[in-house]
Amino acid sequence: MSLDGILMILWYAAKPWLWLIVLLILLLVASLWLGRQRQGKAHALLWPIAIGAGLAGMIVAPWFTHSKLSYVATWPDRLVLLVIGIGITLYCWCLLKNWLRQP
Amino acid sequence: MSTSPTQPLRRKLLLGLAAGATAASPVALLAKPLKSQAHIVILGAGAAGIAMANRLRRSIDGARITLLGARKEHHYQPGYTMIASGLWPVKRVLSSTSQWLGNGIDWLAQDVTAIDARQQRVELSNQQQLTYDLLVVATGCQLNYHEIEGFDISMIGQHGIGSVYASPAAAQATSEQIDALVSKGEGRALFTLSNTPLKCAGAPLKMTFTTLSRLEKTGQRERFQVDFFSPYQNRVFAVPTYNDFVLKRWQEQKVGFFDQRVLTGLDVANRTAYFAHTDGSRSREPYDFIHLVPPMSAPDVIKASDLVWHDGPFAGNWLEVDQYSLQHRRYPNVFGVGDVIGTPFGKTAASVKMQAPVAERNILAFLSGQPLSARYNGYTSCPLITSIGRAILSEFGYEGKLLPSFGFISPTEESWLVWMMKEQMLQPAYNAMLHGKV
Ligand SMILES: Cc1cc2nc3c(=O)[nH]c(=O)nc-3n(C[C@H](O)[C@H](O)[C@H](O)COP(=O)(O)OP(=O)(O)OC[C@H]3O[C@@H](n4cnc5c(N)ncnc54)[C@H](O)[C@@H]3O)c2cc1C
Repeated sequence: MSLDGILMILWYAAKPWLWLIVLLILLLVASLWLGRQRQGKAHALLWPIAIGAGLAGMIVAPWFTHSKLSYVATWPDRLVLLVIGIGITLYCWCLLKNWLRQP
Repeated sequence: MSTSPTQPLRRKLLLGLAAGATAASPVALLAKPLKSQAHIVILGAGAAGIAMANRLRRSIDGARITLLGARKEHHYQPGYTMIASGLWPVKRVLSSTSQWLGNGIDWLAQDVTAIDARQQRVELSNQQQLTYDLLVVATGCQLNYHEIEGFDISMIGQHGIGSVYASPAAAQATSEQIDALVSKGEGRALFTLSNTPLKCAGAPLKMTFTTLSRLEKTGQRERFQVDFFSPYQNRVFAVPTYNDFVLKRWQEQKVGFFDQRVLTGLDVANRTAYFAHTDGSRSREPYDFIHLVPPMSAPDVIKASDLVWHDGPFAGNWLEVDQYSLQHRRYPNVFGVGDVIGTPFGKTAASVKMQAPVAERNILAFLSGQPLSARYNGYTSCPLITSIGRAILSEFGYEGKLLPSFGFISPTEESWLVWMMKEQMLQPAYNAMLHGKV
């Protein structure tokens, strides 16, 4: 399948979720903007919380698609799950970074 | 390509005009719209008809494009399996035909009742007659449930009868009948296969697998007997790789397999199915739930026309086309796309996705008097669901050759990613196809 074709299908797949994607981006921008004044170094719990959210996301992702974790069997399956986990972790880290600061 | 029947003079002129409009190659033809005043009539406003109408509208300038088909609701049929497996609501597969059509397509909400290929004319259900310069046949499959004695389509959803093929409502009713079996806590489920070419020939297998998942979820799988009846010898699927996989898996899952048996009738009140065996004998099988697969053919209007195959394995039942160019073998100004065509493979929406650009290119080449160079390789695909939550991406073409699209996805391994493709990505791909965008 051509790259054009794949991108077109991804676009069609994303279309119904555009509101959610925009909402998540706005939330992130708002969080970074509003929290930019806060001083201090990163909270010790920032990474554990972000990684915890990523792991939770990895556990529920198959269930979310009517599947189960034990069916994540091939290397592309595992890679997709890992990308989901890393994505959620990074998003949470960026979202909470300014709010979880300790003097 | 055989000789063309005589074409009325007006049409010869029109086609000639198009031919004179460009001398470019078919590839170049796609780059800028071809100029033509031809009247293109497309029969069937389903997946293939809509995709072809949108494509031709963009690639031909000046032509009149008429799409014929009475159904105002559009159904995303690959979702039926998800409904019948208790996973999707009916509304997820419904949309309106009109929402998929671009500007400049005349859609007449009428079915075709007769085709006169020699006179290049079709008759509609309101008795109106339409002439065409070029005809695209995309009427899909006809479900011949009436060939099952004692059965009527209205029985789906009653007396333990299910059938995923009939409609979104029938798929929902099928799921409810499976739920009833599960609630009963024991019983016998029969799954059948018909001995004609089928649209999405994987669907009967998927229904067996997803029902097994539902029965296994009860924790009391041993209380249910699950049996599959196939008309073929040791075969449930045309491609050996997948056939062997399915039969082996069913053996492990303790599914009874009965081959060379065709369902001929039902005694609905007594929940009994009748089968004819290849050796001429007959048998009767009691059931608590039965999943029916109807015999299929092209719609009667095609079978009654001169467009149907006259000889060979598809004789009398399917549209005659060259399996590579998709052009009719006797009427060069007729092309076929989708489930209706009599080719060895190609009855899935994924096939339509491949056929539509081939037919489009060849139509452009035909209108401009050039050789038809685009080829359809028989590409057929359906994610073969093997449990609720995982599937195999089966993709193949003529001679059963495996045609994997993605190097990183094994064509023989069960995978969550492939399940996600079926669950989340297939419908967007289908929608893009309807718009003629992939
Ligand atoms: C249960 C099920 C599961 C499936 N799963 C998959 C899958 O997983 N993957 C996949 O790729 N494909 C799948 N398919 C197959 C896919 O849906 C079809 O191959 C596809 O819809 C074919 O498109 P078509 O236009 O040829 O036929 P259709 O979409 O059926 O459209 C035919 C149209 O022609 C119209 N018509 C009929 N007679 C006339 C007439 N006389 N005049 C005018 N119009 C007429 C009909 O009303 C209809 O609108 C599945 C199908 C079913 C039923």
